[in-house]
Amino acid sequence: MLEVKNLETGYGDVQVLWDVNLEVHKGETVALIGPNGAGKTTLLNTICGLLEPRAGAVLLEGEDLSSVPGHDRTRRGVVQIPEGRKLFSGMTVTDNLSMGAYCRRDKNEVRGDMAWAFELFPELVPLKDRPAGSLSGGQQQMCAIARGLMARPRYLLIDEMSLGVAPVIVDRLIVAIRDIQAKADMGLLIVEQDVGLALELADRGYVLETGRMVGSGRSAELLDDPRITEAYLGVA
Amino acid sequence: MRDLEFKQQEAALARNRLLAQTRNWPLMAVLVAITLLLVAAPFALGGYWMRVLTVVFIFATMAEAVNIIAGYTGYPALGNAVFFGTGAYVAAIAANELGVSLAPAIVLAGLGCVTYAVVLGLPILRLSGRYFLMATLGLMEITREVVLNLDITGGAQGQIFPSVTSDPVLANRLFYYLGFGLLLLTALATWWIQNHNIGLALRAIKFDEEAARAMGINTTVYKTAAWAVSAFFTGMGGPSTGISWPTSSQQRSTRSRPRCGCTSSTCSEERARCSVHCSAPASWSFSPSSCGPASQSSTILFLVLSSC
Amino acid sequence: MNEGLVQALVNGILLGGFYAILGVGFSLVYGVMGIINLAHASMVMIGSYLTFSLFSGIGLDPFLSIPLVAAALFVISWLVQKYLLNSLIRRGFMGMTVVSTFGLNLFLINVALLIWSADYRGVVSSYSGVAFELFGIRFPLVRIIILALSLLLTYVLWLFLIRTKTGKAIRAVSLNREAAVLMGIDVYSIYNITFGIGGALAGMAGALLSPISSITPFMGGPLLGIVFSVAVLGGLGNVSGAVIAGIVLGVAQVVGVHFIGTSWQLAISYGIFILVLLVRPQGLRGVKFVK
Repeated sequence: MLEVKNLETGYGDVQVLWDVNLEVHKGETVALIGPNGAGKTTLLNTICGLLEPRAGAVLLEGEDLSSVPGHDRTRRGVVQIPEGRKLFSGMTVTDNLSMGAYCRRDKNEVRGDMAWAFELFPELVPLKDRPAGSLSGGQQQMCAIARGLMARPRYLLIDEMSLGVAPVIVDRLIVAIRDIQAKADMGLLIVEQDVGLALELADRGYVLETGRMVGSGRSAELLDDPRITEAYLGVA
Repeated sequence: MRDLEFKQQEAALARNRLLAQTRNWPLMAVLVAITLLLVAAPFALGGYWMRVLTVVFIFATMAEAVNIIAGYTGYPALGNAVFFGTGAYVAAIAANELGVSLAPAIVLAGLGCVTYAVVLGLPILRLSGRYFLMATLGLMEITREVVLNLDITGGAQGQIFPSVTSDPVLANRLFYYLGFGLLLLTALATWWIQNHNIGLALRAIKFDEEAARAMGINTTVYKTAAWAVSAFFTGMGGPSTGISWPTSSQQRSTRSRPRCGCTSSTCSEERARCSVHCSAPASWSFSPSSCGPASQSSTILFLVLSSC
Repeated sequence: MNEGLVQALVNGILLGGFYAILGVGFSLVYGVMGIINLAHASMVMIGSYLTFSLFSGIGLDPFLSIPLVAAALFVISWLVQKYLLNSLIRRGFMGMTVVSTFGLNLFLINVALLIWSADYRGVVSSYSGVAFELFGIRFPLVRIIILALSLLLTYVLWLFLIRTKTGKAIRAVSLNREAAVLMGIDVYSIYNITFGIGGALAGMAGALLSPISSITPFMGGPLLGIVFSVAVLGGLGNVSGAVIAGIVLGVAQVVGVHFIGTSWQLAISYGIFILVLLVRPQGLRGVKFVK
């Protein structure tokens, strides 16, 4: 279980997160929704160790990760697919994928995972040797997801995967995520502004507003909640 | 975000200023006491320590001057010692070729460096931070090479400024007060800049040049002006030390410690061999290789200043 | 074309290959970490002195001492990054790194003064006078070896960066530091390795330079201008760009000297550097490390 307990984070004088609690179990998909600027990405970056919490803790299978630096958290299976993709634009698609497996020692299985990643996104096969920066937005997002999978995550955090991607491609990505859910035993945390999409994929959801958790529940319950539908889905 | 940061900084500065005026009177008292002590020092100190202090004043002046362009404006002019050398050369050449006396020669040195800074600054200050840093170091080297190859500068031998007075005690005091006065003047100018609109504009450039331009600040003018002021004081520092810096030929002849210009401790050991700090400063000389130690010392001083 | 000019061109190319390896380490360090290593040329100087000591002490050929010198400077630079520069970067004092390398530069110069004194030293091997002549153009053997080794070592660096896991990690850190952390790359240990490699390259350049230059504690000052020029001309962080830049610079310098005079050599190399900066005022942001 990946657990966030009473977390507070900020930049300089500005506090962003206040007493945030969250749980992701193995095998389930959790959505984190909320408006722009709510602190969703900040929460993910704190979980991944890119930011230090002011208070509270991130626990992995019950172990406190406070003293574990960011790069070691990836090694332990907490992997983020960042917003804006953040590919290594000057490197080829294959190189980007092998960077995803940077901290793994099991070479043969890495090869198998690489094959799986290309199976998941056959669109990437002809682009293997192209620099990642020359890909279209949708292709880049596929490359980013594939790169994240190469780390063989136990918990995969996906930040705004639909941002700046054509609707057709979003549907394509949804298929891929369902594939991942079916084939790999991992916990997924999906951060989205597109609430419909997130709750469609997830079993449960959390609602983050201006740095505080204001609600949580099963996806179906959240979709029935008039406050949610009004605020995020534009349904009166 | 940046805007907010900037405003907060401004507010903090204003608070500090207020604090300095009201509650910091013990600090002011200490400063006044130190100033008085330094004014009186020449009547108690020997020639050696007076020369050491003179060099300290000049280096502090240079550090303060670098602060205007590097600290306030955020343009890391690590090669600023070029103005120190240029100033020394302008003064010495003016004295030797035109027969100008010391005081006008120093002013000429400052003005010469202003001209140099403006001519160089218009193209170079367009560069962004790190490229500017490398360019200033490059300019320092180019200037040295050009000076080495010109006839009017005396090539590798450098220039000798004509003797001001034959009395060594008087000469010591003259250069001591000259250095001290220059330091006070620079500090005063820096203080003035800091508390006026120009300082505000310079800090705006440091934080976000693009935004400063959008606010209607003519950044080219302000940057160039900042560098010119910096060059003015550094340039006047050149002829005000009253010290013979080692020429490159002297550097080579002192086998074990060629850089006797850089620290006073080395010089006390090498008194016999080295002319720095040791000869009477009634006349002084300057050569292309003299900039090195000066730039090192002033930059280190700037580092100390900026980390405070 | 007159013979003197052809000879100058040949000399320029022979020199330019060396300039590539001289600048590429600086360029790599800047490209990955954004650190301007003002001590780079002094590391070259230390490399030359180590070569000199190995030569005069145990009679080791200057070209055979390259691996030893490179290893020594790798260790020194690695330690500098780990214990000095990283702690500055961690606390967000990026601007202070340049001041630190400025201080390191002074430190290395004074260490050299203490150990080797200010006397001019040189490495003169048995074959240093050998030269071939072809169509009236002289090709000194030592300079040909230097060119060949410079290009070879730069090529090895390039292979390292595009083929090996560590090399790829270095490129990844330079391209996107935050994403590199998310991949599980320990950015600071990559920094250590990168600065180590930068130092090793400086050491190699020093070893290569030792047979054709007199060695003094202050030899770094003039070299730094060439280092800047190669790095900026080739695009900071760009390995193959550095090779082209080195050769362009070498030719420009030697041809310039041919027309203007030897004493202007340094002014020419710095002049080219300033000119490059002015033509591209925002700096030449080349494609990092090529593809």
